[in-house]
Amino acid sequence: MKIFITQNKKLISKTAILFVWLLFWQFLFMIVNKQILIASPISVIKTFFSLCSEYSFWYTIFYSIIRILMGYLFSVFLGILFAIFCHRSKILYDFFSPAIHTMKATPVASFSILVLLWVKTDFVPIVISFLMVFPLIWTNISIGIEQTQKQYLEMAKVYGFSYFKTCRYIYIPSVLPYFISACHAGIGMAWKAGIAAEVICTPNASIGKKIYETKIYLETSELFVWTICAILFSILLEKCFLQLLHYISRKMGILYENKNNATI
Amino acid sequence: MKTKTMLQFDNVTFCYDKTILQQFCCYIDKQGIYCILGKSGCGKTTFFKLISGLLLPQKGSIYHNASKISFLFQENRLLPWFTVLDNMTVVNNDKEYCISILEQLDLFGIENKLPSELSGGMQRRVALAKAIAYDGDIFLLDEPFVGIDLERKKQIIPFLQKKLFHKICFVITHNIEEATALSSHLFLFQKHTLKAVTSNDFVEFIH
Repeated sequence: MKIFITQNKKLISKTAILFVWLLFWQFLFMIVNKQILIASPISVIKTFFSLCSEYSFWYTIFYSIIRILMGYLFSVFLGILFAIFCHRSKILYDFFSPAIHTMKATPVASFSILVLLWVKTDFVPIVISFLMVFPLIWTNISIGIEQTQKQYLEMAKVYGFSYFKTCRYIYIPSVLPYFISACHAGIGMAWKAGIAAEVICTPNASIGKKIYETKIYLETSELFVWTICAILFSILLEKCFLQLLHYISRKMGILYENKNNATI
Repeated sequence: MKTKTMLQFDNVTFCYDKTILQQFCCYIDKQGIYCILGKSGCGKTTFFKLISGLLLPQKGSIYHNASKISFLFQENRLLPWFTVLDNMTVVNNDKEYCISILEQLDLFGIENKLPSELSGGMQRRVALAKAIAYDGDIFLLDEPFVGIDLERKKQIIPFLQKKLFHKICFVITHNIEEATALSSHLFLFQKHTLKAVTSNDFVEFIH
């Protein structure tokens, strides 16, 4: 009962905060009073519902999600693989380290234009999402492996653990918090970089192209709708992916205690 | 028939920045509990790490025919992300046997708890239970009674004697009463070697 009341309170407070922000937005619109510079909340809601009824709206979102997810999943897979290889070989680590640090610092726009010369426009967001997230996953997994406590590895050695068993019981649980944090930060990054690449390369059926078109036709309320959709789907994907990771870790029997004595 | 477990140190020298063992020789093939006493930092834990193969001697060699070594480390080294039972089954798949060992150490109903949810003394007993569940041919127990109250210690000592009488078991302790209660084979780690402090032993020391 108490939990129910607490949850209700949380919901009410969140709704109230949202309402205050909407009021602030409306207030800002009334001060500026130019639909081109800032769309009103009402016009945005209207545009949103009208777009929702169109097939192309969902089609566009679907293809953007697929492209960005592909880049993201590739980066997760290869980031893990490269981090393991680099952990096993110092030469490989030294070889890849400068390249990965360069990837981290390179702006999305430079990458997008360069990649556009090499691949079809449809693939640019995939490559860009990959290039933005891969260094993050690689760095976090490498740190996680490095931070694995020597005392547990010694215990594994004495108790005759196989390499697979050491990975399953020591490396994976040690690296998992680093991996989850990288995935958490990475999905938002992939989404932002992917849409930025779509704006630059304007592939068909993409949120980025729609955002670019709103600039040309001065459709500020549509720009707001697409931006809000991008934010909402980014949050949704992030939640789904993290839930999946937590589900897998629970299935593996890996439990982490947090401050409230709950486990993730 | 199972071969008798033996352990041999042959002219072993090991140093960090100071010498721990110098041309140390010993041969042990008698099963039983051997208590090792000595000042902090004199090299008792290093001696265990050499037996377990975690450290290699700089000179000389160490032989043993044990297929498994149960090592209770100075720290509990329980995997914090797994439950007590998972920590046990990592070394022995037989869940019922693991639970029976826990119960014999007076640990009931904690199988599904995380190590961090237990007191220091309970964690120590779980770590001890894990070493026993692994059932090594050689046991290396580094201060097994740290954090365990006197009453429980009195229960655990006979249990250990019963469980380990047919193994070669080394126990490091700083408490002479614990040592004498556990075994009549007492050794002092001193001047880079182990010295028997009782006449009752089958250990040959060559300097």
